[in-house]
Amino acid sequence: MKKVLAILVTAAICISFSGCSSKKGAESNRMATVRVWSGSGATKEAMTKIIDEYNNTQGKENGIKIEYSVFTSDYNTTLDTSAQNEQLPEIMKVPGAETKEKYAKNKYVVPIADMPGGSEFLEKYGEKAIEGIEMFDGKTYVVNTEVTTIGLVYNKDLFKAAGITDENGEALAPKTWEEVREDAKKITESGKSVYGISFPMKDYGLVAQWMIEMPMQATFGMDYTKIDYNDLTYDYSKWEYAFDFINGIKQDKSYFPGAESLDNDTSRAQFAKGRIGMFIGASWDVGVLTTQFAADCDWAVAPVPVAAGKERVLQPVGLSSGYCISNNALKTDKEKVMEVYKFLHSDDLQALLYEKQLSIPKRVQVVQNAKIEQMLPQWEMFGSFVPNEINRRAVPTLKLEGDTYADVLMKVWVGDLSSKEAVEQLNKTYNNALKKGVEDKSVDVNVYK
Amino acid sequence: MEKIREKYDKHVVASSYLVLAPQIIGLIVFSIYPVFWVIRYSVYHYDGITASFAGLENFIRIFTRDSGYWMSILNTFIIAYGKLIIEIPLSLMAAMLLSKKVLKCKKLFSVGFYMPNVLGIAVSAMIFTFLFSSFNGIINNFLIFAGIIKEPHNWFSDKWSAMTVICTHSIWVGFSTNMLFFMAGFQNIPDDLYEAAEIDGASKIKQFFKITIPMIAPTLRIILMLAMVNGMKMTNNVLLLTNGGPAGKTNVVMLYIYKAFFETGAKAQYGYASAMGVVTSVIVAIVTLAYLRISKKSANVY
Repeated sequence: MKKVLAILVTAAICISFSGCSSKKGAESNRMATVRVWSGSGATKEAMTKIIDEYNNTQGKENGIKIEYSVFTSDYNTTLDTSAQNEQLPEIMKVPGAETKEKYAKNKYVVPIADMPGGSEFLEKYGEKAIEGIEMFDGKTYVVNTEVTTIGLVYNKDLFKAAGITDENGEALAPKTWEEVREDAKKITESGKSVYGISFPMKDYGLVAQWMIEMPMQATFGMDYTKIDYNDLTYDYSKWEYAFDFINGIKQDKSYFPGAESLDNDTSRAQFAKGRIGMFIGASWDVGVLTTQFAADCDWAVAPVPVAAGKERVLQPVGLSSGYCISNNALKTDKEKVMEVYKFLHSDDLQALLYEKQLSIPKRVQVVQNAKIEQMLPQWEMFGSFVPNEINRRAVPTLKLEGDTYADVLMKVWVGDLSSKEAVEQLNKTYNNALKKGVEDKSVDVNVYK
Repeated sequence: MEKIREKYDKHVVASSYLVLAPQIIGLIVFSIYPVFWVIRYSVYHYDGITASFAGLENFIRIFTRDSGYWMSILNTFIIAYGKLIIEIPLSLMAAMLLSKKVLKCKKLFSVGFYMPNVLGIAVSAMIFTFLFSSFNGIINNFLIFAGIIKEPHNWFSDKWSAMTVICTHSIWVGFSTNMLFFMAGFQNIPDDLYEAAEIDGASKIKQFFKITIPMIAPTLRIILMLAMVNGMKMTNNVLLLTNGGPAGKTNVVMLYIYKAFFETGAKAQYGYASAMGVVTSVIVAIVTLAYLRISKKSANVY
């Protein structure tokens, strides 16, 4: 009896396994499957719909089926492992210039010009590709489509309550870093349990890049961290201004308390509850403050502040990861892969994502032609920050021995380093790493000169 | 008769191996084999794609140029051993209370004491960040209410108060496991020893120090060794509570290695992180062996 039962159970398990196999059939002989990978969870729903529509209309006509997969966690590791095992999909989003450089050096990705129709594509979208960001060894591997813009996110109610208003009684956003400090102090003193500004120092890497370095580039230009490739030196002296600003905020005690254990999500949640006057935000905060932590307060977006007495020189943007074509695409139908590639970069798709408030397009023309009726004013404001020409600069990938600029920012925050000591330490650490990189040939300075 | 027994033994042995095989294969593939890879990585510079032979360069860097690593080792020792000063007596007391016929609702207390362990490290660490938060944290509000401090203390702003939070959390989660070990140890003490001592006129305190402690010495020895080794492996709670603390001051060694491995992105230095792993395991081995040597006497108490 037991034996019969065992055999029945085994048979049942085997039958249920057979249900896992997928139907392939005759369809795949005519259709070419192009796999696209992305790490962006925010656009997953919208993109899946758009891809499905493409598959059912243009895709069917041209014999293309797009398989779109999103990896929301550990995307970098997935990519690296697939790259080493030659299992990259035809098209994938590759985050970060350093990763793209790595892949280009090892020939995991192919230059766009090597694909049929690639040169024409580059003429339309390539603009002026920069060596070290989109170009490696003179060949272009990626054309970014999306950007993230930054701005000052502020709580209009708290500004009005503290009396920081213009002649119409509307909240007046600060224009300079000095005004930010003053306003933060006024707001903190204006009520109980409200604080002027928030720095989520638990995520100090994010703060260093998105709340200090990029906003400061609006005043000081892309050369905020000056790198001299002839002397092989880094110059962090302009960071003294930012460190002094941080120390000023700390002195006034106008920051949300417990900053060392405050992460970005909790900080934005507190802002949504109306306890924080302002913070340096980015376009992704619109989604966060409308769906994830729906804001109880009336909030708006203003351009990032500049240093007093100086003019704004540029609008800093963050480049999102762009699509690269892997070497596996060369083994399949190259023209169909290129069709999909063009589709992913098309103005229509970017406009659709922009109108759905999911991503900000890189091309200013798309922003200007978009339909804004359904758009939140805050999203529109972030969209208006897209510059005519994207400013970006390639920096060498260094093997640092010691604190990064984010680590040093944290040390300045807790008071371990004065502004001057911090600048000295940064210069020393980065100079050593740059010199070492040139010595062991892992850095080629001619690329960046 | 002998022949039949032999057959039976072979059959049992064969099926035992079969049953254990998945576990053993898993252990070899996922635990032992990667150790050899780590040792191999440690003599290379490796960024995930390209590797270049480095010889002992990584090890030289650890011993001469990386003060962050040795600071994290020091922090690990301070936290792992410092908390034992409170945790061991606490678990001993809890075990004593639950072993003797002192309390009426023993089962309720046993369950209650064990709950923190069930909750798990990650969840309880998140709860502790809210408890000790500077803004509306319960601990701060309670201390202000009791008049001990005047304004909310920022527990995570300096090294020693952050270490206090980490130790408190670690003790809260971990003492119940040690309590169970002690309770098991108490089972081995024969009651007639206590009766004899009672008859001889020994006080309860004397009984405790002269009978109980020596009799559970072997258990205590194992518990201390486990606590030390587990203390050195601590990462999750420090990561969630302080993320290495204000500017890396509460980094513990495993967290430091984890960050060197996974948080450097494309500038990954896997070779260096592996070298740190090798050095750390050697240090843990030395400490454990030294401890076992020193405490050998206590294993042969009776």
